Amino acid sequence: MSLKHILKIIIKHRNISVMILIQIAIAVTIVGNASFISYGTLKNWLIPSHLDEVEILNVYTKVFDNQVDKSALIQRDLTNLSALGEVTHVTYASNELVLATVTGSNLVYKTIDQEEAGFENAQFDVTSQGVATLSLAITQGRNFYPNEFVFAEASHNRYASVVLISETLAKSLFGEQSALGQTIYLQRARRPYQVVGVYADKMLGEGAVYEQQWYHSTIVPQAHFGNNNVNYLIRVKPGTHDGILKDVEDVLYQQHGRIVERVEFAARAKKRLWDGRSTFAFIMIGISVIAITVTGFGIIGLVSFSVSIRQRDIGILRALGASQHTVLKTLLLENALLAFVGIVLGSFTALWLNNYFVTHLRAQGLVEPWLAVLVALAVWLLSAAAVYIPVRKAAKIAPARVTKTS
Amino acid sequence: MLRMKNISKIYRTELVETHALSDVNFMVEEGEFIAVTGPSGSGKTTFLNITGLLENFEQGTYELDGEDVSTLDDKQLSRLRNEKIGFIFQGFNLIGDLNLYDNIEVPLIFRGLSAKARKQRIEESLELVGLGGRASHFPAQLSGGQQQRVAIARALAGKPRFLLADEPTGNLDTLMARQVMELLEEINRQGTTLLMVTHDHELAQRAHRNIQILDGQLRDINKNELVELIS
Ligand SMILES: Nc1ncnc2c1ncn2[C@@H]1O[C@H](COP(=O)(O)OP(=O)(O)OP(=O)(O)O)[C@@H](O)[C@H]1O
Ligand SMILES: [Mg+2]
Repeated sequence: MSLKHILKIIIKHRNISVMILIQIAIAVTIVGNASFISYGTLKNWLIPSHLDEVEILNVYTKVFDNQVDKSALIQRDLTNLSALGEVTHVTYASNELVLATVTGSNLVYKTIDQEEAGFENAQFDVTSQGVATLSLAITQGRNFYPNEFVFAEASHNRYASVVLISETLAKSLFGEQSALGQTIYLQRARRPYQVVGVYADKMLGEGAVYEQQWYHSTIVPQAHFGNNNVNYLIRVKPGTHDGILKDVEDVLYQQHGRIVERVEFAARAKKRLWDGRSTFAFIMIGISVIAITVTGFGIIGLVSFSVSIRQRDIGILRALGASQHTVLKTLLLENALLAFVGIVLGSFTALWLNNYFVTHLRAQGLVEPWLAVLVALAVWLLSAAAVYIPVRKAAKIAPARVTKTS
Repeated sequence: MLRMKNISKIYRTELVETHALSDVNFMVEEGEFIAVTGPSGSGKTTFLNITGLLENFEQGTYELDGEDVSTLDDKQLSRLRNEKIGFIFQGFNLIGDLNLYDNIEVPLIFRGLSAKARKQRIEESLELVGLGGRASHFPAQLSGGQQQRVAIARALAGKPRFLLADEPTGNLDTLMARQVMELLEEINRQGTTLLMVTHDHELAQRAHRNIQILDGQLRDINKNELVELIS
């Protein structure tokens, strides 16, 4: 049997051939995407946060009593929290907390032009110990001056005039140009701020991370109060135990008219952020395992069938001088050809589906060429293994079987 | 070229043991034409299969060209089958998915012949059996007799030294049968050893030597006995 004959037989038996081919294509599609997404998620997991995840606390509280003077409350909280033995710095945080979005999405613009799309950005509005609490390392320019901090009722519309930005954001906005002295515009209102300093990257914002702008962030020396949310960021000494969570809660409960919603380490916020995405990856891995199993058995079944209706032909080949080895080789080659076409077809559907997942479902995990090749190889091996079982049996067909009947 | 000693073959099924061949002793010289006769179910095809290395046997020894075949593995047996032996089966045993050209080509590919040599042999042999213009037809498009001729063409294309034919004329009318017989005799005259199973005693008479199989026992018979059997 030559390649020519094999192709002719494949075409003659195109119904079965097409079924085998589709099985393989579907397996490649599913397994390919599962791998891309799982790998993408895993890879994102491994992006360093540069955060001292177990030294920073997010604190969420809500003031339900409208009679409470929030300005005074915040001042008292800051004083009381600082008094705790393990606490080194604390800041009121009127916008985002670490890897936890409290108010809607924050954008940063280069111009005031309404057409500009802007970048997703983590915006931390802090009081005087903000930079120290996050332990930001200023690499260019300067830290804030004490008189640059604005602490005001939100309705008064008073804003700071300066800002610190991360190195990656500086690069996104200004490229190789220096960011110092430039003006940037924050949020949809496009309020202007002048960049006075640049700090080393840290992964800070949930919304930004979601848009894969891992290190985009700005620190603004302004703290607005007025709505129900009263949140803090706290830095504690290295090695502080979980008991601090309870201590912080107790301190906050001393003030009336509020509830403490949650006190957590940044590590916890990060885990929560990733868990949702991992779930999608795990579901995909589960589906792949099922797909692989179904494909494996499907191929065994289809090939068994395709071989059984050709037993006589195989017997003839044996009688004409094909060794078992030759029969095995021929049938494996036949199925390898089918698998190859199936894999090519499956790869195209996989790419298409991946594109759909990434754009419509915000899945992470763009196509990795080496991973695609690995998946194709794995499916090919699997199909060869599945084919091997019925084909080895077929190769053992006794040549005498065909010579006795007419 | 061939020597069998005390060959036995037993088929075992759940219910019965069939002694298809018992204690067969048999020798063939190069260039002989031997006809095998015997009633249906007597073991003729079994005998031919063992001779053609398609089946193994329980007891005895079989030497082909001085080589003890029981010592050979599947690969070596397949190679011998392909190179030395040509088969014309009782059924036609053509591959239905392939056209006539491809059917004849398959054993030539196993042989490792070049495409050009194959083409020449295929065309020659189809011409020889009178199916010159039909290389691209499929077996299902031919009559039984024509399929039998393709099977003969396939066996001849390999230019085997030893041709085994199981009722090669069984599906042919008298005229066609005579033509095929003449063809086989011609091949034999050119040096191919021929072992042929037939029910037709008239054809059997044209062989150099006659053997008869009865209930798995093989014996030489002479022409007179053959005539007796006919009457
Ligand atoms: N694979 C097998 N399993 C069991 N019994 C078998 C098998 N092959 C042949 N037999 C039995 O062995 C005996 C000889 O069979 P064989 O085919 O050699 O007969 P034959 O002489 O060629 O008959 P026919 O003239 O009808 O072709 C028969 O009784 C048959 O039933
Ligand atoms: Mg028979």
